[in-house]
Amino acid sequence: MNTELLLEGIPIAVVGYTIVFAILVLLYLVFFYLAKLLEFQARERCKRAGKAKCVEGQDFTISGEVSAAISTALYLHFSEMHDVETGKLTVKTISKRYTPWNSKIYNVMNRL
Amino acid sequence: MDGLFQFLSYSGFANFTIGHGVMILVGLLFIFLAIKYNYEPLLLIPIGFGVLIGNIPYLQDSGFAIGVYDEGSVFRYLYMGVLKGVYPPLIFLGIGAMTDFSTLISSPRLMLLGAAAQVGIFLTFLGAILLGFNLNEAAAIGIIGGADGPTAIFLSSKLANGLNGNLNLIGPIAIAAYSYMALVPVIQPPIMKLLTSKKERLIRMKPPRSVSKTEKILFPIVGLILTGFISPGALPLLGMLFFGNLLKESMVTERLAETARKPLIDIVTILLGITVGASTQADVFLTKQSLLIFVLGAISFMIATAGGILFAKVMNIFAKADNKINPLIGAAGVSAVPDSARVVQHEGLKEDPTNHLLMHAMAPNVSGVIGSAVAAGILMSFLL
Repeated sequence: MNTELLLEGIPIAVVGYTIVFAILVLLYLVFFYLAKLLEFQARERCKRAGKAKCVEGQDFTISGEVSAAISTALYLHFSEMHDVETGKLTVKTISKRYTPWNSKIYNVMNRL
Repeated sequence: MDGLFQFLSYSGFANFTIGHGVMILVGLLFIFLAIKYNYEPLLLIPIGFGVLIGNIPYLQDSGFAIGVYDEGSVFRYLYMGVLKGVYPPLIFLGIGAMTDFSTLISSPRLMLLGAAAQVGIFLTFLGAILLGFNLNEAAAIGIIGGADGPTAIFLSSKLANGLNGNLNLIGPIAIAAYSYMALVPVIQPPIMKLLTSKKERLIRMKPPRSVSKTEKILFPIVGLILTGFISPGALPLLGMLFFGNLLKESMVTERLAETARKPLIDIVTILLGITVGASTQADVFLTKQSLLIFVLGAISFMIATAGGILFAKVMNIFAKADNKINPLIGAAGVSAVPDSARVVQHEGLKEDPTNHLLMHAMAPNVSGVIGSAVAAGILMSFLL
C-alpha cells in the first residue's frame, strides 16, 4: 500500500466531493429562488390584469398532473379529429381531357 | 507450398490463444444479454461485436495493420475518437438534446441526491490507490461509480491512456462502466431493498409542478455558467450537454436538436461501441488490473447507489410530513440514464402498483449526469 499516494489522494477526494456537492447545491438554490421570482412576476402581471385567481396564498402554478391531463386531452382531440367523417362520398369525377394518347381516331388513322 | 504454410500461419486458427477464446465468449455474452434480456442493447451489441472483432487472432507482426493498436489501421483511426476524447462530448450533445430537465427544475432539492450518489467515485478513487494504482489511474477507475459510460471514457482517455507512465485502462474502464450500466436492474434492487423499509418504499411524493418555458431555457444557460466557472475541466462534457439542451428547449432550432438526438448520437454510439469493444484485445485486456477494475467498479456502483438512498433518508428527517421523499429515488442519483430511474419505477410499483416514481426519479438521474461530469472535471483539474 502506498501511504504517500493515499495521503495525497484523501484531500483530492474530500475537496472534489465537496465541490461537486457545492455546485449542485448552488444550482438548487438558483432554481429554487428563480421559480419563486418568476411566480412573483407572473402574479404581479396577473394582479395588474385584475384577474381573481391571483390572490395571495392561492396556489398559482399548475401541477404537472393537470398539465399532463390537458396535454393528453389535446393530443386525443387532435389525433382523433381525422376520424370524424362527413358521411359524404369524396370520390370526384375527373374530367377527361382530350389528349392524342387516348384518341381512338388518331390510332385508327395513324396520324401521329 | 510455402505460400500455403504462410497463409495458414496468418490465419486465426494458427494464432488462437485461450485469451482470445475467453474474450470471444465475453463478446458473445454481451450480444446474448442484449438480445435475450434487452440489457442496454444499443451499447452491448456494438461493444459485444467490437469484442469479437478485436479478438479474432492474427499474426501480430504481419504488418497488416488490423487492430486498434496497430499504427495505420482503419480501426486505429476510428479509435482516435476514443483516445482523444472526441466521442464522449458528442454523446453528451445528444443526451442534452433528448433530456427533459423539467422534473429537476420543478423539484430542485432532488439535485442533492445526484450529488450524494457521487460519493462512489471518490471512495473508489481512494480504494484504487489502496490497491496499488497511481492517482491518475485511480481517478479514472473511480469515475465508473458515476455509472456514465461517456464520462468514464472521457476521463480515462485523459488520465489513464498509456502515456506519462500511466497504464492504458480505457478498454477495461469502458467495458466495466457499460457492463454495470447494463446490469443496473440486477445490481440496484437488492441494495434498495436492504436500505429502505416497506413504509419508506410506499411514500407518495407530491406531483411536480409544471415548468415554464423561461425556466427551461434558463436552465442550460445558468447551468453552464455555474458549472463551467467552478469546474472548467467539465466543459467539454457539460458544455455540450447544456448546448444540446438549449437546442431542444429554445424551440427554434428543432432541426439541430433532431440531428443531435437522433442521427448524430446514433453514429457516435456505433463508432464508440465498436472501437471500445475492439480495444479489448486479449493480450491487452486480460490482466490482473482489468480484474481489479471490474471489482472496484462494482463496489463503486454499489456505494453510489447506497449514497443516494441514504441521503434521501437524511433529507426526509428535515422534510415536512407532507413533502417526504421516497428514498428509492436516491438510487437514481447514479447517472445511468434512464435505466436507474426505470428500476426505481419498477421497484416502487412492486410495493404499490399505483405509486409512479419515474418522473421523480428522473430528477436525481439527470442531476447525476451533471454531478459525474463535474466530478470528472474536478479530478482532471487536480491531476492533469
